Amino acid sequence: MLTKELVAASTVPLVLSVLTRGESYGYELIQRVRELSGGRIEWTEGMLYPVLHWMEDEDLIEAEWREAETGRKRKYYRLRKEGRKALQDEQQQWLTVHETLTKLWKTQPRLT
Amino acid sequence: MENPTSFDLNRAIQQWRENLGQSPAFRSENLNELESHLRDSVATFETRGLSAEEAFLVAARRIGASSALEPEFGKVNGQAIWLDRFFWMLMGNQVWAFISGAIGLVTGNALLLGLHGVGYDFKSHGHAILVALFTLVHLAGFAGSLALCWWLFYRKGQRFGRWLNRLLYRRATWVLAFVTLYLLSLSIPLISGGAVTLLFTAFGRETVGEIVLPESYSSIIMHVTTPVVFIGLTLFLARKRFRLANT
Repeated sequence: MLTKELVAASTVPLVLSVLTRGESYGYELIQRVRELSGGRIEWTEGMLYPVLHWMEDEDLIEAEWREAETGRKRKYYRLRKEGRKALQDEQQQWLTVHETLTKLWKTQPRLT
Repeated sequence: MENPTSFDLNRAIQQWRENLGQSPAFRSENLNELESHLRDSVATFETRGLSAEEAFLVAARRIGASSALEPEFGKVNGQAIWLDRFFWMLMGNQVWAFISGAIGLVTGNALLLGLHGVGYDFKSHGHAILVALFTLVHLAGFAGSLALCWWLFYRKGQRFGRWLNRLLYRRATWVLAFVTLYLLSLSIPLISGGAVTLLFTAFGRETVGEIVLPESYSSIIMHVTTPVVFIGLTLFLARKRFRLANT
């Protein structure tokens, strides 16, 4: 399980990354992340929406209400150019953290 | 399913939505989106063999409690929250104006008629007694208005708020509220104007002068006193609020 802080920090890059594969809506985004993480990343589902709206305000993504195949309306989110740029920055930062930790943990004895 | 008539999914979702809608942090578009999510989630759980009721309960729990979601939505909907606060300030202002106006009118005139009834001679006693009497009555009226507002908003706050919330969902309420508030704000000045006219015909011009002057003195005293009480009350509530916010 991830800590609250890590969930908060990783939500934006996770959403951006899922959206690089095409548009999606809230429920599907959550399902994708749950599947990909093998159920280890669990969001309080409603919490995703304020983040999506913030990303919309920041022009990282854009949204549109459309009728889905179920006949009900859904709000679909799509990546914007600014979002792609933001994702590149995020990627760089997460990889830096990841590489550094990996190196450290390779040269040190296992903690457990 | 054991008892298919006992659970109505649409009704449950409607209630869930109204419950969230009580907070200004959620705009109606947010509620639409959350409802869409909830319905997707319910449908998924139903295909996995849960009953409609079980699916609804699990889906609602996964979305999160209103108390957990509210601050997060509040961060992105700051404007709506301020509009809501402004709405309640205006509401409070009008309720206060009406209650204190009505109480002031009744007590002031009751005093006059009472004095007249016991045959008080307004001309010969000087102003001091009348000023004191008027001030006393107005202060009592002010305290009464405060008590009534406190009772309405604080003691009955939750129930009053819920009742108001339900009313505000209906369009007819808005028309009715407009007409009532308009009539109320008309009625107080009209009645007090009428009272002055009556005073002139009942007591005669000279006596009215003897009454109006001490009443003005007393209203000056009131205008100095009430802000002190209001500022004190504001500071008290602010302290209480910020202490709560820090715990």
